Amino acid sequence: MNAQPTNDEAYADAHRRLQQLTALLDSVIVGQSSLVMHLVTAVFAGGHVLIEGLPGLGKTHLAKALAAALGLRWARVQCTPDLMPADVTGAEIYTTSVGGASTFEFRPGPVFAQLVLVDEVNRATPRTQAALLEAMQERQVTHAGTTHRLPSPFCVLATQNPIELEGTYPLPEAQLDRFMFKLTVPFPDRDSLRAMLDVSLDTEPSDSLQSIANPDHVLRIAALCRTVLLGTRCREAAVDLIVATQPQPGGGASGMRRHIRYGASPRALQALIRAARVRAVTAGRPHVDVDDLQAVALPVLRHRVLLRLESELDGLDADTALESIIGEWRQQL
Amino acid sequence: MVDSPVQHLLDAVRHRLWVRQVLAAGRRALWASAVLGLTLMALHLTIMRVPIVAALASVATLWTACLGWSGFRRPTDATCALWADRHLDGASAFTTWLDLGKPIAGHMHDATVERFAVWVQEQVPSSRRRLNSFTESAQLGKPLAVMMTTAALAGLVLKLPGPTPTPVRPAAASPDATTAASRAERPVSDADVPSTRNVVGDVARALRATGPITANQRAGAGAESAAASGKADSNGIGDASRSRLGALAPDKSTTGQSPMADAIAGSWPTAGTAQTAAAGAGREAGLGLDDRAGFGQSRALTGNMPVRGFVSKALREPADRQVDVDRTAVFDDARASQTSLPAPAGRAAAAAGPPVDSGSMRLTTIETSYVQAWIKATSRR
Repeated sequence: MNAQPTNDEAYADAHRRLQQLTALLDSVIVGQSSLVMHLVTAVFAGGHVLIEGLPGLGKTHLAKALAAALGLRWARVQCTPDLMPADVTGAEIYTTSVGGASTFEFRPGPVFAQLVLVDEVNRATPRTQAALLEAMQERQVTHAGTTHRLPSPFCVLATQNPIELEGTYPLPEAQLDRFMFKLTVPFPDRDSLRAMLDVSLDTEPSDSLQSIANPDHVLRIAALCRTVLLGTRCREAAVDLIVATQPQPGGGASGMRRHIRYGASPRALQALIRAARVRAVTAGRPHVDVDDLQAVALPVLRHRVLLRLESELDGLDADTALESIIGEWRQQL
Repeated sequence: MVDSPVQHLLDAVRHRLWVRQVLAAGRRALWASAVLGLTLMALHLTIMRVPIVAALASVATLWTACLGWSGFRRPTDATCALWADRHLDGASAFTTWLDLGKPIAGHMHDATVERFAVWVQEQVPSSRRRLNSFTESAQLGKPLAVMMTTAALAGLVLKLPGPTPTPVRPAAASPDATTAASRAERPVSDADVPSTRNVVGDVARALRATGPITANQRAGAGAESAAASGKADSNGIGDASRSRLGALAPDKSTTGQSPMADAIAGSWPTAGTAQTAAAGAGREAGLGLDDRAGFGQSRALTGNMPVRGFVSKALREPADRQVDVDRTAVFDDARASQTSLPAPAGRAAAAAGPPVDSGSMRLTTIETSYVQAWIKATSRR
């Protein structure tokens, strides 16, 4: 990989900016510190995030605040069943120039922003979802034979509503695997609700938020995170965790593994290590620790592990199964 | 990076782990010694004697094995680094530090490696302070107490004589130890009471010399028994048996000659005794011959099952040994008085019980009863 030379100042700067960003977002989004940390981690790890939560919990507000703090150009796409792929990726428009010449001009869609918020992605048709996900994976859009590169950094924050599933198109598992994290937004506690009134009742904090970084800083910090050392212990631990989520062949599984139908993919292993590196830099370390792996394990694996139907009917969910697996894995380290 | 603060820290961790390893081996040896002591004590008490030297040698071997194995096994760098990461807030730094000297370091960024080296050396003082404050008990008190108790107990038990098979000791030859009851239970040998044997033989020959019962006597007794079957008097004797007994009644001419003869004659029931019915008692069955069936014929229902033939003991005996019931009541008082039977020997014979059976002296049941009655009578004189 082509990483820029690093030094103590670069590490110190990265550590400082990450700490500041996290604190800033915590002040804007009250009571969602874990969500903020994971979101920051995903942005600097170069991944996309799927956020699931009830309406009104501040998902859009969080995306706007993040974009404002990092100085990123952001766009919002509200998915509806009649949303077309061209509405997301862009389309060619037949225009007539001043001189009278008429040409087709490509008008980029909202996906060409640096931070894209896709609300209720499960309400879009599979065709539109595919167009979006292809752009997420390839970081480019090809239209009429012309390839248009997406900007860098590029991060998609897709949201899902766990209720009102009528008329929706759930993302298939293969598409879900493209998201680095799947985050759940919990309902804030009483103190958080009280503090929220003081922060966002009469004003929109994201509108007056001062940025602490620019896109170049984001790219530099992301590159620095990719050089974080990964020792043998953490390397083997990450592999062990992915293996622990696989169903045992022959049906002789014990513990939570007997409830798993499909386990995490190798892409999950890469996402796990990339996210752990960002966490290490956030903690001020130039190397990865097993605690970093444990911190990002659940968001990475939550949407990549499928349970058996009979286990789901018995009331078991992926979070419970994964927490048990992660706990056992951590005890062995 | 061999001589670096990190390596010194790992060496200190190695010493700490080695001491803990030896202490753990000592605990295991103490517990194993206690178990070994209990096993040796059980062995000493139940199966075989265990010398104290052997017990000490086994315990010494056990300790040598446990402590030697743990003492010569030094913890490796990887073990020390892993322990430091887990317990000294290493955050995987020490294990990653060991990776720097491996081929995996080729994939690491040089600037990052330098940054990491600085970071981990800055971490060493805090880790060393934590190591110095790391305390853990040896936990030797309990196993040591158990082992000492077991050793003291084993020292007492192993001094005891082990289990040895007790040989069968011969009975002590003491006249006081020989009681009358024991002598009565002891089979009487010919050497003990030779005179008794002679007396028994004389009586048996005397009984047989009177001759067998005649066929007419048997037929008459059988007819009377068939007519009077099922009836018995108060003495349990039926009419048929009474008639036979009448035939067997002692000769009146001999009565009065001796009180013993009169006593024996009077002991026999006569035909004039009262008759009472005791239907189905069957007490007369043993007093006469079974003339309702021929010899060698069974009254049992014949069936298809092959039955092993049975020949009664009476048929197996030679005819001259068959008891002559007509003469069994005859008592020759004169001959009995001529027989020199020392009283002590007779009493001894009576007390000792019947003589040892041999082929030539096999008596029937009736003969035996007569002999015993005679012996009893002579012993009263």
